[in-house]
Amino acid sequence: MEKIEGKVCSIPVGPYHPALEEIAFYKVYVEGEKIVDALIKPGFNHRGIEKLAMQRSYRRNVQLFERVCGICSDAHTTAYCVAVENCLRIDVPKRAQYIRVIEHEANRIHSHLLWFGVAMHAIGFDTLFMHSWATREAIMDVVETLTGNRVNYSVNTIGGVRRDITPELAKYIEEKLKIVEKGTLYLIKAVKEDKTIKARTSEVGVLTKEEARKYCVVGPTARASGIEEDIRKDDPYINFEDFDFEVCVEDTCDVYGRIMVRLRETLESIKIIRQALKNMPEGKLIADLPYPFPSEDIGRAEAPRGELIYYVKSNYTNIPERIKLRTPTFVNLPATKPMLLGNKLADAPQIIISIDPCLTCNDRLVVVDLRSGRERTVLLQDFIRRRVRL
Amino acid sequence: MYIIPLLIALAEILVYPGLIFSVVFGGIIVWMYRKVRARLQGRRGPPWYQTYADVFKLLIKETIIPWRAWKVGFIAAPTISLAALFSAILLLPFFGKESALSFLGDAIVLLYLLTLPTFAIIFGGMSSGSPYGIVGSGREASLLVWYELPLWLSAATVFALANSISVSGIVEEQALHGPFAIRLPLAFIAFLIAAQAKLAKRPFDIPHAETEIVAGPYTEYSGSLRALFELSEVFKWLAVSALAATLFLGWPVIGNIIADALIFIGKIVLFALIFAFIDVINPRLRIEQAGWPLWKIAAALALIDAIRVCAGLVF
Repeated sequence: MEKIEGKVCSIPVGPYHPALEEIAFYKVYVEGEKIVDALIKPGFNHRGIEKLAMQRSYRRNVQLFERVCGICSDAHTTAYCVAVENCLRIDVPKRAQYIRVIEHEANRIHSHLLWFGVAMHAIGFDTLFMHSWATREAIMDVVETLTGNRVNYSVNTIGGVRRDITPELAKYIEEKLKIVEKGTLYLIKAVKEDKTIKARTSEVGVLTKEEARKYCVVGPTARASGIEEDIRKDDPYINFEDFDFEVCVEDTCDVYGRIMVRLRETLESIKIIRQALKNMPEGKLIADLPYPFPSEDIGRAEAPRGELIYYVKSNYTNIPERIKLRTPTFVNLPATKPMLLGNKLADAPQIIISIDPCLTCNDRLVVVDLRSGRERTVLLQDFIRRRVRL
Repeated sequence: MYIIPLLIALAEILVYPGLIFSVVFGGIIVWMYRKVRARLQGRRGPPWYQTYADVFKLLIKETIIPWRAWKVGFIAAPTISLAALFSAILLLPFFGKESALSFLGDAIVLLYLLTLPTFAIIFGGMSSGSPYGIVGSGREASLLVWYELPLWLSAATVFALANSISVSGIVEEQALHGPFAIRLPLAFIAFLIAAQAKLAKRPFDIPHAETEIVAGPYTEYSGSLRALFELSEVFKWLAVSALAATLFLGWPVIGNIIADALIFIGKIVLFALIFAFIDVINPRLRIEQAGWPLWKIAAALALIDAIRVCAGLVF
């Protein structure tokens, strides 16, 4: 027991907790089982990725940014490549863009099915967790055959992709997609029909539309609160304007809505992959690359967790002068506080999981001066200066 | 000559249905539960000796008692739990009609002995000094309030219909007139729901929900003390399944002791499989949601059958 004030008792959830695969520290204040306050403390996994990126060439950075997050690795490389291509005015061949779309959506399917399994585990439904991960294996097979890897695909590169899709491979993907579609439809049916899942998830972790706007949440978390936003539709990148798909919005604003949004999006992603395979244009896989020149631009991508932004500033060298990334969890994480308040302790894990937190992407260094109580983010210059002084 | 009854008593306590048998058979039941669960989830599941391996490994590990814990309570809790369940097993009719120990009113003592482990768990969690343990104990206590009513109500219905409060009397009545599972179907369903909560399996595994409060009351337990709790979990599976078989499926009794014992073991396996199956197809309920199936459904069903028995409407 950390601290007891009257009837309020604080329960630590994380940074090492069986329900959270991500390392964040939540200090949850409870009165009996009811949550009255919550303190969110990320910052257990600072890796200095941005600093590393500013010491490597553009092409080697692709491999680095893949390792920002193990689950949405493709979204990171896509956003980074789009940012560099915007910055250096590179025209990517259409065939390469279509292959990127296929990998991007396969990545989304695998991420959403993985998340669904974890969410079911949080409410104790291990059977559906196992079934969801078994379905996910089919899409992992697709990814593995397509790229040779299961986690870090290494297929995107500046100006195009490194691997082609042959007609036989296309047929194989079609076959596997059928399995994934069948499995996902089964999961949707299970979620819709099971009364206990509904009892555990609906009206839990409510984030109203107004609050969602206030906290600027992105991705499926926003779409489950009735905000229709999707970077693929709003600001099409890698030729998403060619594809016909629906932005899945739910207005229940609770965990149930977040589950349904992600499962329906999985079906939409299957639709997109099928269209891409059908309408795949002929052409080159990689564009001719120019010499770098001073410029700056951003690249945005709809990662499985929401909007992902990369900022790139170039100079005459083949090493970027500045790279900044903003991950979706960074904006979604503060929104877990209004979601948690007033709920039961039993619901805390599934509420935290419902935004699909990915803290390894998120963590930045924040220094708290205990004497004055001020917080400040350490800037690059300070970092270098301190290092020199040390 | 006192030596022969003494040897028989020792054999009953140590071999069948006592220590050796209940540990081996209970381990197999827990393995069956895990295997059924794994197969229905598309996994392979553990090998048959997994339970014994788990307990053995825990026994040779270091036992850590947290400095915040109240030592006496912390050590006493698993011991009380195991002792109560072990005594309960000696009261169950493992010889068909007869149990190792029997006296008038042993059915009521049996139900009391099966309630005692829950109190031991609450006690252990409370004295462990961990917030997870305290929240888990609170949940265990509220769950106890929810499930004891339907459990005792359905058991009392059985006592009333059998016109007996001894285990052998209940079994004898069923051997003569057919099992109570058919004569009292509503009380039977109520008992199954309450027994699921007593075993703390899904949807009622709220006290040690691993994603919420780590392991609940067990969080701070390690080494041999944890092994005692694991063993009492094994005994609990055995005792609760055997209780269901005694109260509601006491038929048929052939008369041959070995055949009767085998039939009884078969029935225990049947009930263990039913509990395992309910566990697989359900997610976990929230604590205040658990009251709904336990009081509004199970208690109501048991009450209907109790009224039927009192009005003499059972045939």
